[in-house]
Amino acid sequence: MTNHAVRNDAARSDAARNAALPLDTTDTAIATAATASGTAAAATSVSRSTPRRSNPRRSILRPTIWLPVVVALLVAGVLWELIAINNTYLLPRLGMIGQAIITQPSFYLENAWITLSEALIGLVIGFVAAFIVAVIVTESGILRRAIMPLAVVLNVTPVVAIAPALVVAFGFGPAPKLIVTALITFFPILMNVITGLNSVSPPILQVFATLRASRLEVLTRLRLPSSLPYVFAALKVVFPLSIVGAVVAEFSAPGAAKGLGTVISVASSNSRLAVVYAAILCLAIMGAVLLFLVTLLEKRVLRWHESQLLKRG
Amino acid sequence: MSTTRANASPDQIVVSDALKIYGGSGSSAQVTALSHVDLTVDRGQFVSIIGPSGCGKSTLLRLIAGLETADSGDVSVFGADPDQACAAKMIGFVPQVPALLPWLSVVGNVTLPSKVNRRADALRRTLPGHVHRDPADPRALLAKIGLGDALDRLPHQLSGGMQQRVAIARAFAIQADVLLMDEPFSALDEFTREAIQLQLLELWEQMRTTVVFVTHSVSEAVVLSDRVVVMSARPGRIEAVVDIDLPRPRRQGLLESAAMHEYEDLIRGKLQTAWASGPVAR
Repeated sequence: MTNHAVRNDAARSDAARNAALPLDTTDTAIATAATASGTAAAATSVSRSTPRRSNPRRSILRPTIWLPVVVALLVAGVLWELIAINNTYLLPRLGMIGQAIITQPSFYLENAWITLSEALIGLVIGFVAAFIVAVIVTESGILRRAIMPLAVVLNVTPVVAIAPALVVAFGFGPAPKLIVTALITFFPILMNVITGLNSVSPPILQVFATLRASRLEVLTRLRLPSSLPYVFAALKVVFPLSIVGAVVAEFSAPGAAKGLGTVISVASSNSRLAVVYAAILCLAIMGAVLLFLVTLLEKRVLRWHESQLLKRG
Repeated sequence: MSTTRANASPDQIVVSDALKIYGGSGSSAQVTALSHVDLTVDRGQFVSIIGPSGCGKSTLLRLIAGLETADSGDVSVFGADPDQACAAKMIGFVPQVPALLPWLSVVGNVTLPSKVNRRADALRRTLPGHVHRDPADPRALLAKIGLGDALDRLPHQLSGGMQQRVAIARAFAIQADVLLMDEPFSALDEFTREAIQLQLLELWEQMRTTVVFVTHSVSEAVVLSDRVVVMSARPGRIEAVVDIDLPRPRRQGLLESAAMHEYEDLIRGKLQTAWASGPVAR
């Protein structure tokens, strides 16, 4: 159990590093972080107000809730402009990014939709596969010893390195993108679900052992519901990660397909920085919205769980 | 797996000459948890097992519950072995912590045992020690134990005492032949504990289910039980068996009576001899 947990932590920090990498290299980290913290702050304000029976809208309107986010965004924007004004080849002016989007909004929408659908379909494939493997591995010791080493090898292999090979094998269609996204999301889900399935407390298992509940009953009635908090923890990591997977796969097949990754690689080879950053902004917004939706869903599904009680209390 | 044993009675729980050793054979870390323990519990009795920590009282309970098997000796639960007894849902187990499922309501937690292992009822009818009982109504049961207005709440909305009452109702709900309780009140404060003891008594007096109750509280053992089994440690063995001849139903007034204090002193004395003889007997 402890072994699982440790490896699980490793997997998560690994995933976090992967997720941070492409953003760091593009200098939008600050802007993205600001957007993300904005949604997070809004989310907590809603949850905090519910037990007091006060109108959640009213608390969002309180300056102490929205002002920090707005100020942070303004500061980030001003810093950006200060750098961009004198270094147009380092950063495009914010106005130029806005203009790039406004002049052809359908271009960005279309490409964002393609990247998003690649990411989500790949994520579903990775999720289903990881969940099935997690159940198999927790139910059978022999299969665990057979499968886990393979899964670990898969995890330490940089998926970015596999992407070009997949493009050679499967062409410029959606297949390599889905495979890369599925691969990149597989391991964090696997480790979290394994930990979750094993998180039923021993006294509960003893009560149901004296009732001779079947393994299937223990799985469906005890283990699966117990794993939900861990599933959501995994989803919060892999939703943004799935977009990373889709973009990386698009980088490997440049020019031949659509998608924001393709937009970025084509535009950067033409030194059109405003377009590059407009696409990056789209990716950041997509990631933040996905994260927000997962958090909302978690709040609905995990009403019973400690993590949600803490936030509410 | 034979149901006909020399010492298997359909109306008794019988533990005979049970031996349980933890730790690998031959290693110095071996602990004899139970050494040649004999115990008989009649149907309908409330029996408490008391003793210092490490005396094997929980191990004894777990042997009867089929959660562990004896290294030698025999355990039979109303004529069946513990494995069959569990398969037929004859055993209701109440652990030290409430062990409720946090995503299920109070009613959901109490009804869940009847939803798993549905073949148990058919199996139960074939066993020699079978006594027919109508299935309990979980809502009525919860109302009796004072949780009538908490039916749809989630466990985290309940106090510790209420949670443990739900766990007790859950054990009663399957109409088990025996309830095995492993220090169920040890985590509760004294006021809650005394209130919940009386509630358990009230429920038990209506249901008359056989109960084996592990505790380390002398007064708790005396208040609840028909018979108190005193155990001593290293090796775990039965030191004395004291029959508690106090009238039932036992109510608040009894708790202060002289007769009760006499029994408490008697058991404390036995526990002290058990404590003193423990390390020597090793």
